Amino acid sequence: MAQCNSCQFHNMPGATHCGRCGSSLTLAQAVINVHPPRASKWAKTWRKTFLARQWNSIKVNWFAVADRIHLEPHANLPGMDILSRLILPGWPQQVSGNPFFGKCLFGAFLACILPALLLIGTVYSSLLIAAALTLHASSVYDIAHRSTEIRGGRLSRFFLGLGLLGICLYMPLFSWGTPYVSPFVIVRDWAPLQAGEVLVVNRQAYRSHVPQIGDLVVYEIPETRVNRPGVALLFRGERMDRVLAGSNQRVVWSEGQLTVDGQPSPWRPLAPENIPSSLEMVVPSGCYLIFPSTEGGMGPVRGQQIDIPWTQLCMVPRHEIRGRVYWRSWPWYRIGRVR
Amino acid sequence: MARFDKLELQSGSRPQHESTQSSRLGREPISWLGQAVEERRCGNYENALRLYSRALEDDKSLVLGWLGQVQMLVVLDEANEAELWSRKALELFPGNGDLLAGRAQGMYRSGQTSQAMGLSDSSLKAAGQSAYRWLVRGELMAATRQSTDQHCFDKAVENDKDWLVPLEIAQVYLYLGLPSKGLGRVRRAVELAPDRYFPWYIQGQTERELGLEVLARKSLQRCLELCPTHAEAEQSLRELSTGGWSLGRIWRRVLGNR
Repeated sequence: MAQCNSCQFHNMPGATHCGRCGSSLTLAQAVINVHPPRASKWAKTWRKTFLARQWNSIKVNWFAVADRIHLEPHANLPGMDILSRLILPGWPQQVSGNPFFGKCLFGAFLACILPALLLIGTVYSSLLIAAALTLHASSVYDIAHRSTEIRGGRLSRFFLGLGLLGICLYMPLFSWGTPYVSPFVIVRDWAPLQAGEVLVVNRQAYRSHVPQIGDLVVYEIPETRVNRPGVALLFRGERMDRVLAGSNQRVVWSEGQLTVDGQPSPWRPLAPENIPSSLEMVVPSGCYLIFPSTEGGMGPVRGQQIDIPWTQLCMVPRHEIRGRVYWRSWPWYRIGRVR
Repeated sequence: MARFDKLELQSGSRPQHESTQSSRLGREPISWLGQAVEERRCGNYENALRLYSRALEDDKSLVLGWLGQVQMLVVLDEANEAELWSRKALELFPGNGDLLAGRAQGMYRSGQTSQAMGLSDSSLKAAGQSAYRWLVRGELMAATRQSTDQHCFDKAVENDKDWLVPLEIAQVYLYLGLPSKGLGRVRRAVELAPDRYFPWYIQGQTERELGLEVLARKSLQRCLELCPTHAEAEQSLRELSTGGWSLGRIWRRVLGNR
């Protein structure tokens, strides 16, 4: 009896084709090329890089996104490996059988956090940071959801994960990072700055470095009272302007030209038009010269020219210089580095 | 005696010379097949493909030979050729379930998912059962992110208890970029065949994909202990040992595009 090699059917002797599947029973000695066609190395590389896998991936990604963002209750979640990867949204998904969802989460997180950093100090930044944190929480929730079937367990793991993230990541990050990206909002027009502008200040800049001439800084103006009949001015609080000279330097301000130790300086205060036409002073030791040029109330008040004690206002002790301004985050069309 | 030639006789009562002749003709191709399977178990797919062809030179009616060729072409990233070759094999063995599954795998890997799904359906409807049909079905399910992939792979393992089945499942997951799902399978293969180096190598690769570098190093070292000349394992181990910090590496690791 001739047994078919394909379906194992026992055919009658003499049969040339299998009675069940139709396979040839006389194939053994037939003349057929049995060497398969082979792909060239170049073709393999090309296909591997650009064609099938990518096409499959694109098809699945774009036409069945919902299918790919699936929740798989029995995923293989290897404990500490997952826990340590919770620091980045989407990373645990990458290694727990749901890489597409992981990439989506991470991409969305980046799409929120990067503009938030550009717009830091604005309400939009706050909204974007909130969205980014929500995505991070979603990533934690996804892992908690897939790690157990018990609802209480899922919730407790979710909150545990959030707590760990908060304590181990976000609290240190915010407490460490806040001084470096401290927003400084301009609340009224300080020519050339306008109300509503948001500048970012590094308040740690002068912890280990001395202020440099030309730095745009936030500083505490020396508290000064000016009492005249009918007018009482109080200069107090944080101001922003440029450092123009350092300790023991002799400064001459004349007709909009600044000379430091006899040499013309390339630097100007932010609003040179607000400075008296002629000033001459020596910067005391441990102080820096910063003209409060953006200060309001320097001009005539109620038609009366006020005699401002410039020498007192301009001399800022080093410890009163609070930070360096380095970024403008609003308005959006002026986002960029500040010099 | 010519009129008795067509009588159905018990195998034991066959004339001795016929039995000897058929065994001589049959044993040789089967030994080539055995060698091909052995090469496949060692991950030497090129050699396995040559040996499958060699077996078919002697006996073209060996379905396993044709099927093995198709499978080897698939794992060698020659899906288009695999699809073509499976079509040719199906002309010789119409409706063979395993060959249909092979064609489905080739079609899927060359980007024709919907046709592959239809062929996989046909392969499962065909007579008989085999691990390979379920493995291909599982691959298609996993590729289209349907949750039944685990079930299909479990069916494959039920059909064939050989360690090669979980190992090939792990390789499918690696191909699909789902190493975390493959890790359990490859560990099972290592449990079943701890003295074979290839499962250790695939386990090392899977762990490396997952960023479990310490475990990957151990697996690759074990692979090298069992086969000191395994060039790929040595290369992977070298990359693990010497791969320094780089932004690109971190990025690939975060995005899983290693």
